[in-house]
Amino acid sequence: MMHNFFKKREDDQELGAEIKAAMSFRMDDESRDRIRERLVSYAKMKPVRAEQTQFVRRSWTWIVFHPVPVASLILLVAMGGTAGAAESALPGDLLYPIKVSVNEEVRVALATTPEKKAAVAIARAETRLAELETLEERGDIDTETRDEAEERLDVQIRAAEEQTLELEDENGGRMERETRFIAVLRAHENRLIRDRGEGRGGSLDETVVDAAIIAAVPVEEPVAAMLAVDTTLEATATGIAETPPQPAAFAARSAETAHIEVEDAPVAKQEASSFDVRKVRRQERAAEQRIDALEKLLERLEKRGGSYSEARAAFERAQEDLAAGIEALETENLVEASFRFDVALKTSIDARELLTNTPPATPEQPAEEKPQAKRERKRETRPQQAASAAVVASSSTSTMPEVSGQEDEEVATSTEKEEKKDEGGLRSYLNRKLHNENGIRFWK
Amino acid sequence: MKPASIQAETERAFLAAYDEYADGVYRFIVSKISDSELARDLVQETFTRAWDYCAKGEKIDQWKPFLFRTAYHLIVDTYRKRRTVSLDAMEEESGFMIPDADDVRSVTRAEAKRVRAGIAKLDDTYRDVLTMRYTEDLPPRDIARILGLSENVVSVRIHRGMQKLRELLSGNGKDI
Repeated sequence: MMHNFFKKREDDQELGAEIKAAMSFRMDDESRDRIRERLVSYAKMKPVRAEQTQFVRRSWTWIVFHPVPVASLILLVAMGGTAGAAESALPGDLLYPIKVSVNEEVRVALATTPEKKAAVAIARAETRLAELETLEERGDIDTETRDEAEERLDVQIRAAEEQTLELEDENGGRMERETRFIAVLRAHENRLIRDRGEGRGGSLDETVVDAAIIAAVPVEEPVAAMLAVDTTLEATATGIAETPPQPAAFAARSAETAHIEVEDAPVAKQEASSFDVRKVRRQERAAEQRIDALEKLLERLEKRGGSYSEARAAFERAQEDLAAGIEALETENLVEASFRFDVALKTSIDARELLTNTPPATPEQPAEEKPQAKRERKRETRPQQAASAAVVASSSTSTMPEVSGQEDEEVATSTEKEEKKDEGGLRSYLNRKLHNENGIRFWK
Repeated sequence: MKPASIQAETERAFLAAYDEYADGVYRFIVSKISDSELARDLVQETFTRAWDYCAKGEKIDQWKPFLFRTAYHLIVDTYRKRRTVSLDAMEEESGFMIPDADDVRSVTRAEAKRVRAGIAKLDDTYRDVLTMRYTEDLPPRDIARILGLSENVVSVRIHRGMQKLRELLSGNGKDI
């Protein structure tokens, strides 16, 4: 019985193979190709028409599995144009809660990957900052609104930080994200300066320029980035001084310019790889611009009755280094010049940070002697950079890899105390990462 | 997914299905109507209908059963009455090839001819399931879907079809 069963199966397989062999003819190639061609045309002629249906169907399925944003989505749909109008609302506006609690929450819920989440979080922080800037620019912000706005900004920056940390294990896009994140923080820092300082003036421009430029500059190419930033500043400085700032548009423009410049960076980078004159002159300009901005800021703050001796001293050191650099450049000692300019730049950045973190000293303290005027500088061909606004931007990307070791040492001795004022772990976190990976530092 | 890529994606799947199954569908049709010219037209018609189905926004997950079912319906609808199977006669026709593939190697040409003759003599009921099962390697479940029968009925038909073919190929089939 068993034997028969297996025998039969074997027979079936054998016969099956015979059937297959007997029947294994096929269409001739010519006919097959011809029909295929016709089918291709047919498919093009009669395209899939239910694309929309498919898409919607998929979306709704998706929603079923993502219940969180459903209410918000429904709300969005129900309100239609309201949600759109809310996009431009500012704190204190009627529609502002919709913008923050509906529109943005939907975006958060829709962000599925860690990268998208980080991007959304950063965008939110940037939006909070922009709102605050806009309000302050208008001058119609009351204390309560400002406190709330700052609170929201803090929350969002923290959220952005968390999301960025989430990216730690992923390589793709991380640096870009962090760079943008740094731009937010930089802008935040500048806003603080203004709050402690005189409130208005060029600092909004600074903020925007900083943010825009840093955001557009890839960290991987600090030198090229610096060159790009310099060029951008040259191109835009005059415009900033003459026209009232349009934060968003200006940021976009600057970012765009900087980006374009960076795309040309391979050439610039090559140039920068040796100590050629053009590169050193760019360094000079960067340091000079930074020092100019610092001077203006110092003067503004001091006019209001404060005393900032440490920053003033740093400012003077920076000027000395700048002068020494110019001297070295004239004797064609490019290495020395480059180093001096770099130190000058770094010192002025440090001084600015001092101003950020130091409350004004008591008015009784005698003001420091007036700074050595920069007229002392020997080269009159130098273009006066009109706006203090734009001057600062190259700061964080300008540390030259070639000399960063030496420079770090020197700066460390001069500003050791201030290092302890590091706010939270954020900067040190970024510094650690960026320093380790790129050999540069964004903040001390 | 973007709308444009739905079209592209569907097209890709559709043409992949054509490349893979056109010959099988052709064989299947030929085994039933033994007219290579008509068979080619029906192959084209089969795939055209498959695309129509896709163009409505439907998705075909299992192309093979779908195509065979479509081909089967086409044959049944249009050529039910035709009953002149002469596979050997078609061997010489253009658009009809016997490939010298591995399958053929084990079976001599004479044997192949004998088996084809046997299959041609089988009743439709059995020939359909046997060609689908053994030539196209379709599982009984899929054959059942194609023919609109239950899986059990298909299994029984395969079993009986094999018996009948064996009878035809053995001494009884002297007239072959």
